[in-house]
Amino acid sequence: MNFPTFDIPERALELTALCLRFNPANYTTWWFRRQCLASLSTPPTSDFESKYTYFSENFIANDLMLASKLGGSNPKNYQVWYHRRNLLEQSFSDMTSDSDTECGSVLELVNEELEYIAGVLDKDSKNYHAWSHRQWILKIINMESKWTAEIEYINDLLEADVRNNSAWNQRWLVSHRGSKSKPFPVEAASEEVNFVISKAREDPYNESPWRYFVALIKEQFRLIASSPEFVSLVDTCENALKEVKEKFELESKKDGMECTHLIAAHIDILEMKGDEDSLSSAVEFAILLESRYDPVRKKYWKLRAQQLQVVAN
Amino acid sequence: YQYISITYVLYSVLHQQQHNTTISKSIMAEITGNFVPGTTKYKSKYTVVNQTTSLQQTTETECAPFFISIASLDPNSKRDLERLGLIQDENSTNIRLLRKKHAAYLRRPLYFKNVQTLPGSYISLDSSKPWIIYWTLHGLDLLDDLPDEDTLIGIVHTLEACWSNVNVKVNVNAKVNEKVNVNDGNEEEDALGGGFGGGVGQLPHCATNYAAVNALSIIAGCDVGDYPDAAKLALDLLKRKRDSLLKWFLSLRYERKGDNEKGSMVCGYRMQHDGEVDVRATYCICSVASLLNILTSDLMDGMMEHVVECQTFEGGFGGEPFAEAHGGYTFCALGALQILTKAKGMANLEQSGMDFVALRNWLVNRQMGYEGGFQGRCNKLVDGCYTFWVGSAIAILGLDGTNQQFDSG
Repeated sequence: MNFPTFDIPERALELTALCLRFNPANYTTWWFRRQCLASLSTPPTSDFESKYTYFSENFIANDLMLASKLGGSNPKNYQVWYHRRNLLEQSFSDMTSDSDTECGSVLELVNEELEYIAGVLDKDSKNYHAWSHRQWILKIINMESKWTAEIEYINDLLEADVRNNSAWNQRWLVSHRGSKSKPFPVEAASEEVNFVISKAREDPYNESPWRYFVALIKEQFRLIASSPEFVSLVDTCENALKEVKEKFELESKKDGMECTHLIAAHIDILEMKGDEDSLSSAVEFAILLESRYDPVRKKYWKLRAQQLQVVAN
Repeated sequence: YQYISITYVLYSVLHQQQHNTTISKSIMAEITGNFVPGTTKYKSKYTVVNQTTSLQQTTETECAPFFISIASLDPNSKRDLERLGLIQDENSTNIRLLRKKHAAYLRRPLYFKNVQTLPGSYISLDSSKPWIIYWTLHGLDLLDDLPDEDTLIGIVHTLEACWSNVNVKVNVNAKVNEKVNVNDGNEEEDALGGGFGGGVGQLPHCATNYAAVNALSIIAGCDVGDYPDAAKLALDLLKRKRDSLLKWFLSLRYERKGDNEKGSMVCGYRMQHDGEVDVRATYCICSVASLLNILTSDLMDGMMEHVVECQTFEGGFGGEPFAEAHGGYTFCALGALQILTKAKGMANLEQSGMDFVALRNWLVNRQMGYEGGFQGRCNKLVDGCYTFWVGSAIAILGLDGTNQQFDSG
């Protein structure tokens, strides 16, 4: 980009702040502002090398405040959130120690940032950008104490709203410590299943826990299918699911088949069990969903029943 | 005025329907077995009240008056609808699309001779000019009601004004018409790349670039007999920019160690220089690159693996790995995978490594049992835009080479 070079980057900074008040979505202005900030920042040592942009401490503090001011009425603006991330990348990536005392001012910054995000989520518990930023922080600092603290935070959110799917999604990230490739131990899966069932019990109609539930079992299926540990897990899960359905029917006097996500989860479990009886039960359930209980997904359930029937034969 | 009158008609109809003896919708559903939106029996159910259930209930209540059987309306109401052009005559049972009115609305931002500016609040879209052009032009194209050639020529000039060049560093072997392995030698040189930004003097950006190229493609693809000068102008512009676009795209690469067993390289793309990395960029680049035939192996290197990492435990895709499964990002991920698997000569989408079954299951569960439309995320609200994002994703799956095809309920 052939911008005229500015002799007075401080003045350019002022101008960008003014422009951003008119249109905080002008990504070029944000980019240019960061160019100015970087040119005015002096790295700590002359041979300082990093893949991240270096911003001096006072600029970081000041611009986080600017971003907060502009972000307030624009919580869904990409540029404001990216600005926060870019300001913090250098210092957060530096955190290699897990000791709370060793990181000092950076840890303070981490805590402030997590608190800021929690404040945004308090107004909109599902703000996609806020969650994305939160995930980035947890992954880049990778501190065990922060991972465990996050579980508490998630539990609080689920207490307030057990249907908060963003919180459920966050739980998957945290329980897996931000990794898809490290195998998830079956003991951990069992513990998670207990938690999920307790939440599913609160409202068996709720899709979120059942989706999480199936994913946990599927993950183990991929890792240790047909092992005794898996067989035991699946049996436990199926019994727990049936118990939720029975309890629901007892207490509400309603037809448990109406809890279509519970039934869908049951179908998935039966498919993983794979024996003849399980598969024919699965087909029956699918046909019931198709013909009566989940008409909007009629064609899907018809296909599912057909495919299960093929495997059964 | 028209909105008020329709609302009045619909509310008066609802009042009447509570007292008439016409066969109710839920009974119809039982008899025919077909899904009928607005069936009270299929409103969302819950045993616990919270913010999610409250918002959902409010939405269902707001939508309810609009699920009216036209056949059951009284003659006065039908006459009102006829007068508004929404039904053909008193015997019609289908709502008509008001093509001329939609076209007039879409044409408003495109006024060329009588300069008509958009209201002041549109300053928030000052960095999205190509989007405004693409949204309106695409709509008009679908309605077979494109503006006159002078306007189209004006559009091409406006889009060209949104182009900016940027200094980039490229691998010396990255050429447009050859498939070169990017890992052969790291020799880099300074080059001039470029792309379409949100307006004059703005940095190139993947989203606005996508919109601009699509808009130019609509014009370039026009019947040459109808718009000879405009079509040629648009096509020439696209041809001239291919080389720069590839260089700029390559400069947006964000390589990292993949979250896979081997730890092999995966590559996301930034939306702009010094900008966020998410799956939208991958899609925008795949789409433009394949349209303009600059989807080189350099560009594709690590792309597919990055997209696959964005699939979540729910089955849908998020903007980044572990981000919540979301309709918009799922469309982008799926679009990118479709383009990439085809470019790599793969038999189907599953060969990319993504879980097709989990995705399909997640997609169908985004359709709302009462409203009929789609939500963007589990336990969130229905929104017309997701009919596009999620509906299109379902359509894309239907294009897959396997026999696992179906259309939505």
